[in-house]
Amino acid sequence: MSSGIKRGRQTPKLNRACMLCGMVQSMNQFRNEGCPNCESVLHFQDNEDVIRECTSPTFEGLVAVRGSNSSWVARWLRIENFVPGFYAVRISGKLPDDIKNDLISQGIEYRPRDGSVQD
Amino acid sequence: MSHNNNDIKVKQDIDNSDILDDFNDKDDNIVKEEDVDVDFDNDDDDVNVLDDDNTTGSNKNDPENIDSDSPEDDHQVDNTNKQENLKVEDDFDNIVERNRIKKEYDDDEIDNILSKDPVNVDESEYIKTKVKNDVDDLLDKNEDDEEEEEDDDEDEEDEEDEDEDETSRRRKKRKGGNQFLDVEAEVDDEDEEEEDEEDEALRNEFLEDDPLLDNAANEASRSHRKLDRTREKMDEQDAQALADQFKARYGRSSSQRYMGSTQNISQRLLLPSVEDPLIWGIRVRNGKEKDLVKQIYARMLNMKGTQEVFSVFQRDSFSGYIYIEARRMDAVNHILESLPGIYNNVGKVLVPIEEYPDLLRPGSSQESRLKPGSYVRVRIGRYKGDLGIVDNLAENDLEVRVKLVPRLDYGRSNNSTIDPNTGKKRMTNFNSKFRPPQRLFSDIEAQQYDPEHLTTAKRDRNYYLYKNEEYINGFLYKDIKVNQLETQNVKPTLHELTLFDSMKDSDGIDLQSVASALKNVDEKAISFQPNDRVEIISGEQSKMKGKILSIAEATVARVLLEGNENDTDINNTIVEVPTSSLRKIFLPGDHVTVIHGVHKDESGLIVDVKNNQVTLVSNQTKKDITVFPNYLVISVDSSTTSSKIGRFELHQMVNLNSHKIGMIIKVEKEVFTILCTDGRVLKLEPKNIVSTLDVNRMTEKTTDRNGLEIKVGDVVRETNGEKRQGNIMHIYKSFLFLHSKTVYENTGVFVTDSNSVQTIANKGSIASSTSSFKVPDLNKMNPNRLPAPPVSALANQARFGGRDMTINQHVSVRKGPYKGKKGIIKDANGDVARVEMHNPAKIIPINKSELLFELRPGNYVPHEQFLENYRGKNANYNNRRPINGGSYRGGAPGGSYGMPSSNQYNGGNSIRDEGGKTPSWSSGGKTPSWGYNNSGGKTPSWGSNNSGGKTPSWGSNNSGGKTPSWGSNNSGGKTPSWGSNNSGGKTPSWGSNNSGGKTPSWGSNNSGGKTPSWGSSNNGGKTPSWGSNNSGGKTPAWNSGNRSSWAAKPASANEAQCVREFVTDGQLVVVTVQSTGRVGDGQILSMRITNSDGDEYRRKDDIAGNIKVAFSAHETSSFDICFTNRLQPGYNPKNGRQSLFREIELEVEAGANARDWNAIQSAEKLKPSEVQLRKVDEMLEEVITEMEYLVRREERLRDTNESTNVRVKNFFVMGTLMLISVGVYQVYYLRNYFRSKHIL
Repeated sequence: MSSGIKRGRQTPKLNRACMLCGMVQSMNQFRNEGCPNCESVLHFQDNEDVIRECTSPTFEGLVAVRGSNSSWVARWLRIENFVPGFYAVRISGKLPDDIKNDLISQGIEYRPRDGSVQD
Repeated sequence: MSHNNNDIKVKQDIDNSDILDDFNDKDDNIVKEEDVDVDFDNDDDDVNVLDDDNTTGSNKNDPENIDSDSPEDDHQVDNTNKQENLKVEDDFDNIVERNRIKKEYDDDEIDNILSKDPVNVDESEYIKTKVKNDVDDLLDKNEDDEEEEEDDDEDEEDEEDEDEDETSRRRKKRKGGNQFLDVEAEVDDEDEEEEDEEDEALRNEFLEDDPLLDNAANEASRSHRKLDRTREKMDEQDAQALADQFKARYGRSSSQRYMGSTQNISQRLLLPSVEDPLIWGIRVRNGKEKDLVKQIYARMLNMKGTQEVFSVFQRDSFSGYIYIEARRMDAVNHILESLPGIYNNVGKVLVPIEEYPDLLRPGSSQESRLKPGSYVRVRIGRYKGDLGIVDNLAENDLEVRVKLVPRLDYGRSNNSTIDPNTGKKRMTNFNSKFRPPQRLFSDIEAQQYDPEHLTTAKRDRNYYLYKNEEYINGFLYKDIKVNQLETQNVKPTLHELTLFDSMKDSDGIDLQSVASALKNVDEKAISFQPNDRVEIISGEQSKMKGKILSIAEATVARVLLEGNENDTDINNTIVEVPTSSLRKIFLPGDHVTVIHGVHKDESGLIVDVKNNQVTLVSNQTKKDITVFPNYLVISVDSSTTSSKIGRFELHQMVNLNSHKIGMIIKVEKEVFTILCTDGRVLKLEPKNIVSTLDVNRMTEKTTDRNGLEIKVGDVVRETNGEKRQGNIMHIYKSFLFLHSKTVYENTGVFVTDSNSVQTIANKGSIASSTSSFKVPDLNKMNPNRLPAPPVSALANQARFGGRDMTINQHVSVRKGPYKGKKGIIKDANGDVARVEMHNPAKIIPINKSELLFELRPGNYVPHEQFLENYRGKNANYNNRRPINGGSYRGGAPGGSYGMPSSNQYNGGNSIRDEGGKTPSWSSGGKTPSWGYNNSGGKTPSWGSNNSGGKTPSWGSNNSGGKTPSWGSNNSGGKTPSWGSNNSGGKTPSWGSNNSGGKTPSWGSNNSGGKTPSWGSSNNGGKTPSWGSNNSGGKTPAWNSGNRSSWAAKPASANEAQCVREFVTDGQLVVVTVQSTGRVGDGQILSMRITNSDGDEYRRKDDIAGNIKVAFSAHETSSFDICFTNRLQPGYNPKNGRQSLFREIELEVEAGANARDWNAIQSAEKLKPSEVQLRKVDEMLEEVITEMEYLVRREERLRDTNESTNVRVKNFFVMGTLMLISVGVYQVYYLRNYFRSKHIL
């Protein structure tokens, strides 16, 4: 019903997923705003190279979470501490080694979201 | 603030003690002081180089604050007044003293104090000015600080939690701190600069004058700085706290810290529990899933009342579904309201909790994993569709280096190489025309035709760069993005593998990768059969060989392993292996048939088995073909013919041209041998055959020379010539294609004319009489002359409406190989039914006597009984054919109610009852006539009642039922709702003795026992005990253990007796029913739990004994627990009339009472008293909820009341005004009237 009205404002394309937190955003969003969860460690903003390395265009399973603590889905996907938004279930690709080491030195455990880690 | 100070004090303890020493023995410890100074500087550097400059001024404010806070300070000041040695507990106090001194005493006194220190007057001068500055600052700053203090106190707790990660955070916080405190910082800077200048000037003087002075100056400035630093630290922490606060408030700030805290918890610990929200699967339009997820997310953020919805997600592997995580169904409904693309009528599936993890698995990881060596196909570009071998993976798995066979033309196809600007255009042209065949890169050609693009990098390794692409050993190595590659189910053809293999002699075809590629091949094409010899190619048993014993579901094979000489212990071990990891073993000499691929249907003798390839000599083409072993099966058929090629089949009639007809007598690869009508034999390729000739059995008829009918299958003999004899294969006009086993040429097929043959034996002749020459039975062509089949047979079939009534029945097989399987009869002919099996899905003819027919779910009867039943039903319907003498007297209304069901039947015909009640029939109403199967009885049959709406009142009851009306729960007729719950029971049942059912009174059937059925069976006894039992009504929370018992008579009318319980939303309700009697004692007691809207929560049929039912309410509503006691059809009540009732003890527990406290106690290890407390707590909460509800109601009622009041008041005022005005008007009018009449 409101599609006609809303046409003016295009919803941003969700075409890249952050490999660290799984956040799904458009390239532009990553470039302009960074990843809301991982910006402090990955510094996406205006850094196209990092975006290319640390986000993946191939992902599967779109999850929209409210950011509530009681959501089991968020807990299972380990995104319960992250901001509300869209997340991907499986993201192909792994962070490059140097960034991985960087994360380890910051005490952040990186768990690839490409389905290779199972526990 | 105080808390904060303490922290800092602890941290600074050592420094403080130093300072104390310094103050006490200043002259002795100059060196030590300097040490301390150095230390401080280091500290400063750690925190921030700018600290000194930035915050010194503002720090000076602090002592004042602390001073005013702590009463101790006065005492301290006193001490200093007495000019004892400076007993200072910390540096704050130290400075405070100085400030105090400056404020409260004149310069002389300060001089005195200072003179205690070995500092001369200049120093004291300096301190004076400095302190003065400080005081001024203080006065300026005081207000700001006080405001901040409040915030700080709140945030201190947070700070403690976050101390862990200081290094990474400090930087951040510093930023934030400056941001929020920049006003102060600016002010401070100015002061600071001034100070610094002074400081500097003084220091210079001191330096010139006396080192001691310098020390003193240092000392003073050091203590200031120390204070500054502390203050700065506090500031910093304040800033952190502020930042935290802001972060909490505006959560989505880009500077948020990374919070992946549960990363190291094993996923096993995250498995869902009952506490977690539920997940509903919603059926949506295919392809709309992602859009819907986005839309629903937008609603989650913007729409009110969606807080209960936690997440929504979609998986590509579950297409057509989205999943919503929420606590409650109505939240889901709310958020989905009027969203396009959702199939509302399909309903929402509550995902079982154990399947949650499967919904969110990252996917089958093994299959999708790309490894070096795996095969891929390029999706787009010049190499679209080409096979590639993964050479290497980029670090992030997103790009793959793929080895391809290049398609190059070395610039020959485009002449526009002169113009480099049109490069792109050239490419498109290039693509549109044709693409060069796959060939290995040739440096010679490249040099010859297109040398300018060729860069030889390392010749020795056969490494070239051509047009900026790398070619190694002739192969192209190209980086391609993963999403431009097809990675799943890539099946390399042998041709492609050979291409890759052609250049290499060293490594050959990678067996492993071929195997893994084979694994992904369309597995249905590979069929394993028992007794196949196989080798296991992956897994633990890799390289083992064995024999297949059986195959389950075409994917798992049981393999009997063969041991070898090394380990004989595995001999005769049986393992289960997925067929995907099996490879067939063949030996040279085996005769095999290809079942898949381009060489499909060719057969031949294996001449060579090497690696994973089998070479065989085709019987058809006489050529070598090489295939994968899994595409082969051992073939016992050694014929050189395969039966079918393309659209043509062996022994098929074909058109050779417009007037030439032939029959295929031999099929070879690409060549057919065709016998024409004139007896000639042609060899033709398929393309030379015009079409197949459509023949059917009806047209393929002719007569022999004696005028007798002959048709396909008959045996005829030539009357002259060779007197060949054969079976008729085809008839075309007068040409007969015969097959004889005694003829050798043309594989035994020959052509003859129908006039030259005579019939020897008719196949399938009707009257297979003794004579070999029979009269064709023309009767059978005329249906009118068909003899009537035996009556007995027909009677058993009992056809109605020309349709076998077994068709479309659900059946179960009771004999034979399909025993136990279920299916549906698709077609029936005589005694044989063609049954479509559910599993496996195919149609099988089965004798009806071997079938069990499903009357109602779970109730199977043999065929005979089914027939009887069916007839009984039919008899009910049309009353035309009384069967078994069971005459139906349903039409007699108004029987004696006291004897329930006694007059329903005359003879208790069980069959009829069965039929009447089978849900499949009655609920159907599918054929309207069946719904009226009691039409003889005039009463609305119960079938039709179920369809609803016939009784006028019941529709309205439903609408009335929505008022919760909890207060009046059992008072009967007042709440219209309760009657409506018993949708089945209320209607005067099909037994028709409830003629009262026509009266509209049933809606209020409990008001006074007017209910025709059970009320009258109690002889006007009016709602017996149970009505009064619950008359208290009682809110469930107060005495949620309603216990009531009454006797339920098996009313022939399905009159339900209900107990109402008011339940608030989310409460757990446990209903315990204890009933006398037993199942099968002639009474069918059913329980049904409905809410006030009539939605059914639970239903239990035919209960007896102890039954426990639990459910949780999804709405605040009154719930009706209704019991219906029906007489079992066919039960003869005379046998045991005295026992025709059931005593039911009903216990309804809701809320806290319903919970299993024992379990909670053991689960949470609570003490009994704690459990009791918890229980009381929950009960109290329920009471509170209840009270709140009451209050709300009260409010609503009062609102109504008040508004009525106001209206009445207004009405009164208006009426009064009206009266007065009319009165006044009358007076005037009359006066005028009388005046005009001159009476006055």
